[in-house]
Amino acid sequence: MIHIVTAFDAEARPLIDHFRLRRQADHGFPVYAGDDAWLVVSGPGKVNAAAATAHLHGRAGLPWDNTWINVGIAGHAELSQGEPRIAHKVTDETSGKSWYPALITRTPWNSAPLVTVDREDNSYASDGLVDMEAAGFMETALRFSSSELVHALKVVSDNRANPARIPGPSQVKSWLAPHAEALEKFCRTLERLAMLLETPAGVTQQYERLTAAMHFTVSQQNRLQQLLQRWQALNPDMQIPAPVSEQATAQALLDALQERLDALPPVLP
Amino acid sequence: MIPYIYIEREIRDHPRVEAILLRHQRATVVECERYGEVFNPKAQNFRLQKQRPALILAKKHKNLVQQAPASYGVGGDSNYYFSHMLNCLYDCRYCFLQGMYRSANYVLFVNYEDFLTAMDTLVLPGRQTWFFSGYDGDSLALEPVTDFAASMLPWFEQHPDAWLELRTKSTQIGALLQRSPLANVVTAFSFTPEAVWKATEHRVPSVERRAGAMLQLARAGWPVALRIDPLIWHKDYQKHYRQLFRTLLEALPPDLIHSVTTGPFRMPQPFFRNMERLYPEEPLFAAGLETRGKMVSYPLEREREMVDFCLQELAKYLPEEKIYMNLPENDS
Repeated sequence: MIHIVTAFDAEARPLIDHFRLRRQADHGFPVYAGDDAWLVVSGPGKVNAAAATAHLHGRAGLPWDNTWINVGIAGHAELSQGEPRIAHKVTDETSGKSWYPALITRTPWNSAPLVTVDREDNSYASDGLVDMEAAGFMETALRFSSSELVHALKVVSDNRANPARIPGPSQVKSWLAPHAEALEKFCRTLERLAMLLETPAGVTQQYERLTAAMHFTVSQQNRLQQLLQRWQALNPDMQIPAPVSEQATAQALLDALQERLDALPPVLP
Repeated sequence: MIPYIYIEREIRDHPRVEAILLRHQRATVVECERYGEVFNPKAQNFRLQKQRPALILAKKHKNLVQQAPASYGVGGDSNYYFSHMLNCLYDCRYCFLQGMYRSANYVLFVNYEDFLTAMDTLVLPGRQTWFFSGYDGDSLALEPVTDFAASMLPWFEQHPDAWLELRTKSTQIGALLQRSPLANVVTAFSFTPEAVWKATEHRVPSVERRAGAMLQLARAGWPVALRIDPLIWHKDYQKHYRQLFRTLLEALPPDLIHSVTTGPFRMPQPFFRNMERLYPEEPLFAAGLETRGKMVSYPLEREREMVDFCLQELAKYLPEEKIYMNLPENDS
């Protein structure tokens, strides 16, 4: 699932259209959802971005290790208006803290450093992009995903020759819309890589079946997960055998499964 | 190709950094204050980063050279280890690095001269002092990027009591072949049998290619060594290790071999847990291992059987004084 955070409705609109998202009945932040993407409009500033990111995380069912991307406009001293860049470093100008999104796949865009400022900055002193949200987004999204899956894509809206003024919605849309398809491709690639981190389906299915059938304490649940993982690694398409799954208690089941696994010799892949 | 190079601001103008950048003109350069900002954050995944690792150029400030564990050595009077690199080009499924680090990016400490200064204080005349390289990464695999061996050798040439072990699974021996051999620089090649290589040592050159590189180096007069470590149990392990020793040791006369060390698979428990989490589908971690003390390893009986077998087989080719058994600390 892709999770998109934008500051303004005009930034969101091309993505809402591209991903065919529908407005949800949320209070607090405008939230949009589709079959395979979520989007929230945060409003300006890093505090809003952080809060909206957390809101969307809750709204999307507290997903772990999913793809998150902050999309929007930014200033840059030299780059032309409409130029896209993905951030390879995001710095909060106020705190000095930096994040380094790990770009583990080729991107259709060049990358650049990005500085998040608290107030509009028309000095163009930075040699990178300047925005007002990305640091808040990174700080929050990295609490529930990994740095390879959390990114910021910015399109230049102003530069030294065309200093900051509030661009019209249609202007913003025209800058962002051409990148929607490439953005989706990039995010889908990350999603495919993120599948490497998922618990194997066989483990989840057996875990759910067993925990529905009898009571496991929290520590027993953890042990069950670990033992099922071992079982699945050794027997990818097999349920645990009936003499194990039909034990009368959770403890007896865990002990029987452990005994079976411990009796097996080491295996080369 | 290395797509991104992170550089600590402090060493941005270091000549070695400039040389590396010259060789990687297509890489995107990102400045950072300290390498830990990029390498250490919690929200990273080793397995994902291994898809496309970046290079981090940094300066090592302290603990440049450290005492080796008491159990480790190849006959010297004192033993130290050092790491000019963290992480490795290869992707061996049994490797502790994937359990120890959150990031799979390569960290290269470019201040080689500071390592040598630290070594200088430890070498005593007339006593054989060993410096083992390649604990936290392969010593030679990234030589075309790092120029590490080529940079270190002149110092060892001038310090005959200082011994260097370059530990590797690579075939990157060009820097050594380009110059006259040094008796106190030993290139130690790590091997497992072909079946283990195929199943677990992803991106590592084949046994045949590494054996070829080792022979080439030995014939050029460089001391070479074998590291049969870790021993990996599998069905037919006896047949496979016997075959490996035959391949390696029949081609190489014993007098050209400095030493052979061997040791069983042992992994600190927290590292092992991380590896299990990274590769939940990996059968290697799923059966036949147990926790003893703070280590995950094969059951003692199985471990002893393997070690004894390999020691006996090695003794068919080499004198006893060239064979060393290395066990991690806290051995039970």
